[in-house]
Amino acid sequence: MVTLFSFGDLEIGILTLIFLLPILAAFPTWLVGRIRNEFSKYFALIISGLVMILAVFAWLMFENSSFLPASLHADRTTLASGGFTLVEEIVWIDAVGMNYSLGIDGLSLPLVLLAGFIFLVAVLASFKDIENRQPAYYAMLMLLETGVIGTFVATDFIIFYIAWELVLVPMFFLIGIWGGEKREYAAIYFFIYTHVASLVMLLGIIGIWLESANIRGTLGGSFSFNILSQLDFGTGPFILLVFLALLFGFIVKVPSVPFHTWLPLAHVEAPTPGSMILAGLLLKMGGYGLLRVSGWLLPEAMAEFAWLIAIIGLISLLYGSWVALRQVDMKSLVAYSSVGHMGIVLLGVATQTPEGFAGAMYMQIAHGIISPLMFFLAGTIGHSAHTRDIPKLKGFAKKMPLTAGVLVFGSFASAGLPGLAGFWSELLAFVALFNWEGQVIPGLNIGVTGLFLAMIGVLGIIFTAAYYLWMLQRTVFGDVNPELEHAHDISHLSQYLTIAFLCFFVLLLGIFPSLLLDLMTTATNFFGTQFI
Amino acid sequence: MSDIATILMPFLVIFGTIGLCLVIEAIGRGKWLLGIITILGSLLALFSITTSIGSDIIHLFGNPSDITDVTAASGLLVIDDFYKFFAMIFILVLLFVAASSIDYMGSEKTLGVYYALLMFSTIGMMLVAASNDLLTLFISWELGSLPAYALAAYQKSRPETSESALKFFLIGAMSSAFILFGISLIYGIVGTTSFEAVITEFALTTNYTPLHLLALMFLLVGFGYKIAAVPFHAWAVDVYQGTPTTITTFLAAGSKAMGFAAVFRLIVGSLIELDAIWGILFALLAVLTMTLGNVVALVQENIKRMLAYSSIAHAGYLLIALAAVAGTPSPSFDFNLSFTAQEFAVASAELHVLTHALMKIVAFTVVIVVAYSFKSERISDYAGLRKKHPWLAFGMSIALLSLMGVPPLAGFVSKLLLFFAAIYADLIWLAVIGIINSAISIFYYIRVIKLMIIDKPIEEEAVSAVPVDRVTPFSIPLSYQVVIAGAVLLIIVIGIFPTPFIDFALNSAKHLFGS
Repeated sequence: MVTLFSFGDLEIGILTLIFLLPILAAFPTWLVGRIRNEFSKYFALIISGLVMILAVFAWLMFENSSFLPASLHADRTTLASGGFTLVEEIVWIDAVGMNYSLGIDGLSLPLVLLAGFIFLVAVLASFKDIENRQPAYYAMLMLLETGVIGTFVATDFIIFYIAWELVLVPMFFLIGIWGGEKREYAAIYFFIYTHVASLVMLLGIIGIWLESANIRGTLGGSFSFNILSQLDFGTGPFILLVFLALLFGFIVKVPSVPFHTWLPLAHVEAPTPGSMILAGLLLKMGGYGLLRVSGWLLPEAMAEFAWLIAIIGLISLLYGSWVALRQVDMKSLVAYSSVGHMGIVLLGVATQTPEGFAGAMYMQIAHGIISPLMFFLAGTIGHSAHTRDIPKLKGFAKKMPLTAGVLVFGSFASAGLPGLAGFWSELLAFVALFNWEGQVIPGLNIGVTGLFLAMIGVLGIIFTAAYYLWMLQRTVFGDVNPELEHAHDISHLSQYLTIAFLCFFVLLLGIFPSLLLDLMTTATNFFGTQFI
Repeated sequence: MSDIATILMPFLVIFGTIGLCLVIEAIGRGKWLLGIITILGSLLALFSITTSIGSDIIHLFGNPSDITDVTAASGLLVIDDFYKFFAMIFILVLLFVAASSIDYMGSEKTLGVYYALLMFSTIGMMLVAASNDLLTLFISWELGSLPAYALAAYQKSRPETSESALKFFLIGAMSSAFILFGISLIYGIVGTTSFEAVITEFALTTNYTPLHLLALMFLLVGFGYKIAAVPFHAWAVDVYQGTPTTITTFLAAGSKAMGFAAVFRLIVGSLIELDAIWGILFALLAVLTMTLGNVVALVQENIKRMLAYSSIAHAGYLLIALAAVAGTPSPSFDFNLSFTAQEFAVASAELHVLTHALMKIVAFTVVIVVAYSFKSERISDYAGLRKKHPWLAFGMSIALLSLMGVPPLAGFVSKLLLFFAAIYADLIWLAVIGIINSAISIFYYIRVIKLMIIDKPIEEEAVSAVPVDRVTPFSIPLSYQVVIAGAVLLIIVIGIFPTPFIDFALNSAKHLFGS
């Protein structure tokens, strides 16, 4: 294979490097931090930067970029039929057909890039925010990075599950040790809720293995995405159940109403960089799982339940936005806005069209950049003003002009202002939704049409604009609340860089949507062909 | 070259070590050597086992005229990979328990006897795994159990120890009686004590009499006590709590494994014809055992009791595999695999016995250190352990996460294989119940992790309420550090590179079924 780095006799693929570099660096991060506290953060910065560079390199290889020699170009022949490229496969547990296999396609590559980017930014954002126990903190971040990236690059269900679970433990500690007032409760709530959901997902994974064993006969069951995507699972009652189990695992992670209760709690209590990763990446794991399973593995089963996904998405959008109106804590407001925005991902998937898929993916990436920005701002404001309560922040623009300006920018981006990243996702998803002919809910004889859903869904968009504007009106403008006398604007280089990076990409993706859309063309087209 | 001395090398090495220990005891000097000698002896025995993995099945003591004959077709002992797998587990347990005893038992008198008893018990357990005859099995069983009763009563100055030792002894004696009665009934049916004869005789029988059933029941009850399956579990919790903690480790990791080894040899290996009956019973026991273990563990306030219930729950997971041995593989699972569903079930159970032993070694060793350091075994006193002993908290977290089944640790792999064993045997509902139980178990494990790592130490919460002597810093002795580090390392290694262990377990399962 041309896509290998070699270290002497050892040949290591680029995806393995991206996947395992952070976890291997976790212990050294802690170790250098024992020498001097600051070393750990610079070390983590270097490693996450390295991972980012490697991810960009993988992107260039994926694109067969002319910057690279032809020998490093990826094999793109199988992409159109739902295959992967830059594939690495090693037999792991032969007895039940588990392999260590990694690969990327148009669906996972943008998320890998996003993960590399958000971790880099999160490390930067931690510089001013995290003061106690830095070595352990940065080691946890590195562990977390392996889990998140592993979820995206795994092409074997067990590796996927392992990476998915690997995320829980460091996140549990991040919330529990470096979190806010009620951190202990929030951490344990987060862990139990999501771990139970993962176990339900594990049942689904075992179910899909069983069904594949039934279909493949003497070849045995398989966990490999490549093999599973070639099989025709149909819509038998068992496979529908399997799909529901997987769906449950994903929508808890997304999270969708009514399984969203862990999210506001975890967000409010998590340290700011933790919130950024939680909103920017952990939620995307749920979306990714949903897209992967519905588009690649079980399209027929997904088509049966499109109405369910659409309704859950719609309710999440409406409920999340509605509840966000009433939030007092700014972090809590952004958390509920995440519930609402991730609802759009579900709506996009439910339409089963390339446009819907593109909208869902665009939302994943756009929200993955905007929500870390919003959480960073909320955290910075909380740090400097000693409160995140919206009523108490009246007129803080006079004290923190730059933060206030960026807050306005971020709010507009999140509300979907044209020209900023959030706009395209909502546009694509709603265009797809308007065109969706809908589905009759089995057993009830009620049909949901795309037009109907879209009409109601637009209300959610209006709420979104409303809560952001109302929040801005109550905080940024007006006379300064006297309690904010001590507040000061951001002043550290790492903070400027964090904001600059995030804003830059919000603008870039807003002005040049084709950058992202072109990257995932093969995946978009394949998704469309699955439902014809 | 199969000299009988080479084959029995592990036993001879341990016997030699016992002799050395007793001699040192008799001389009365150099007591500090005892632990180290035991460790070296067990390392040597472990080495001699690992070098012989994969060789042919050898029957010993089958030829009455020449006891050194190693070519007999049948014999009292069978030296195969199944025995080697379990011997590896037993010796690992011996190794870790001996190491942690160096400090734990350091102030005791007659230490040589203590180590000798540990090793005698280990030899008994190894013989159980190797036995190929009803009577050999029973005698080995007693050899494995009797020293354990003495060990449980070792610190007789502690009142709770005497109570729990007595309980342990009474229950143990009763279960032995059950087993002996079952064995005698089988002897009555078959007329001979060799396992091969039992297998052929049972295979020929077409209609089973109540006598067959009665024999099986007696055996099940007898073994059920040893592996602490519900409803025979009640003793385990009290005994685990009351005995000296090193011995608790020995019981939870070693003695329980012996119970499973005996079940495999006698019930799975020899009474395979009755599988329709014991399959259902094991499935029932599995559901009861894991559910009760997990649910009751939720409300425990004492860490040793919690770990005891967790141990019961894990026995339940293991029983899933036993039920799976009896299950009829679904016809759709006609894969081109190199093993049968039965072999896979046995292999997965063996692997889980190994990983469970390792996890419990870590957990109980941490309990020992904490009990020394804070004079408490209450779960709530684990609050803020990280501040006092960060590495201890780390090791305990790994062990608990592995018990919970979080990847990529050993507990995840072995538990997953157990569930797959159920699936291969077309017992999907059992796998589902197993996963639901895993979900229940999260609550009590994560609670301890949260207390250790996230919560503040009690001393910081209310300074005045705590006597000052409880806060005295305590540096962890080297022996505990080595035990915890070694076992944690094994947990991680087995979790990431399980293949050699799985292959070994599969081979040993094949040997158990005589192929």
